[in-house]
Amino acid sequence: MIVSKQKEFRDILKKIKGSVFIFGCGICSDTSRTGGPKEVEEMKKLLETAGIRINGTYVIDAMCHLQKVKKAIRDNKDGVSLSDSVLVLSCGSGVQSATLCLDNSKKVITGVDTMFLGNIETLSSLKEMCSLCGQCVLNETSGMCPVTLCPKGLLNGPCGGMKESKCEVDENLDCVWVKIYERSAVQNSMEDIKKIARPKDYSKKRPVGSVKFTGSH
Amino acid sequence: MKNKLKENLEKSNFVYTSEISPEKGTDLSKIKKVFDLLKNRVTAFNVTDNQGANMKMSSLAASIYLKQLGGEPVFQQTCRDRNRMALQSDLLGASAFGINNILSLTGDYITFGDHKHAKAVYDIDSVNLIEIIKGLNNGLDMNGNSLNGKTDFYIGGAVNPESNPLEPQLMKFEKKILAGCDFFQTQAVFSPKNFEKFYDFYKSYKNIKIIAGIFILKSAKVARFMKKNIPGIYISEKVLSELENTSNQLEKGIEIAVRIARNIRSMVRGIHIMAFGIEDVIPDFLNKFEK
Repeated sequence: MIVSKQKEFRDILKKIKGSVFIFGCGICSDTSRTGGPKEVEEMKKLLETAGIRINGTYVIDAMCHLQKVKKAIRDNKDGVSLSDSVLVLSCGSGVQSATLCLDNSKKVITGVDTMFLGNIETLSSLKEMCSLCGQCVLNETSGMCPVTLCPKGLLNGPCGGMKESKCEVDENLDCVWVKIYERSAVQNSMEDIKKIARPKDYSKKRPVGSVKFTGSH
Repeated sequence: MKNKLKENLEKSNFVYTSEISPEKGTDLSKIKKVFDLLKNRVTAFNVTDNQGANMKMSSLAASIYLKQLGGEPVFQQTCRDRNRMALQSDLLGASAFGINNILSLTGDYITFGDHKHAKAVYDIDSVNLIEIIKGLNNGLDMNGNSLNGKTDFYIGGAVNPESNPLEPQLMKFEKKILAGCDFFQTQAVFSPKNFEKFYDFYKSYKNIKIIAGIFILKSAKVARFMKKNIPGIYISEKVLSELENTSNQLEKGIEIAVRIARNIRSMVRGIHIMAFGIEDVIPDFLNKFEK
């Protein structure tokens, strides 16, 4: 899931012009506690207290899904067309769905900062484990990602700053290379991590990520 | 071009290297001062690269200045601040100015220093950098494009012999050897006993050139600070209490450094002396060590 956190309310308020329609996202932003039904309702109250007119709210079950966003805008067309601003409480991807589906005159505002692709450890604990780098090394690193879990993204082993298996950047963070080493030793797959890993090929990430399928699913 | 570090290591002469940290600013006088103080005592000077992630004068510029003074720099390059293009172009520049020793480093993380909000680069790592330098020595950039004028670097790598656990560090050390590393300079050694475990591992490598890092501790306060804040430094409580229970802590610091250096002398091909701000005690350290 995409993990987000709410921006400072005063920063959101500064960006708002006129009356507002609020969209939330029922998937990731709900789990992130930034744009589910509860947070959308809280945001509505806060804005009303600040004197802003709210013309409606709606939680879309996935704001990254353009067709669902188009439908939600159609279903709420009175409230949306009355509003000067559309406040979106979802990740940056969801915010841009709204931008794409609304005409140029409609001001789209994000109420959150998009953080990372996270695993749900528990509903109270989300953790980044994948950086979406486009060249997965997990088959070579016994299923743990050094690109993400090493702050330096080192592909060839730990730096000299690792101390007692902990990361030099944060003593609460395990050095992922120690973990990779231990797991590879148990699995007799040391030859995978002993090979020199080549630098990443960033041309694979350019110019802008896009996939088109042919045929039906 | 003459390369004293290479010549001495190839001849198995015991070598001394030390360190010059460029100023935060344009003043070159400290470089000259340290060079004048130690030029007859050490073979080469490592020129640090934004040490501790603090923004300073570039290690390349300071290395060129040291070279102009008649010194032999070991140009340190970390992977923290430059992508693969910037690293290679600085290497070509260094070589064009006659710099031919290089130390490839990962680099302390950006949040240790004075530009905590900067983007850390780490486009490639220290193992990849060694391979790239090897390629430049063969007249090719990392993508196989020909160079008009190749480099002639004697390639150094770093290793932390006191890393705990040691095995993952040894794996990386072996990759550096495989990548074409000519010599190693180690992180500061404080426990000869730990160093011996590292020695047991590398002694089977024929003709491997290890220069051990020796840090002269100025005081118990500095030692405590380093133990807490400098990545990869292991200072034992025994060393700390030795420093604390003496009236002349600097004198004791030199004594400890001499003791450690003597204990590991037979296992290494040289020592790299770090004195961070108290370089003026290095001649005294060397006199005592050689006595």
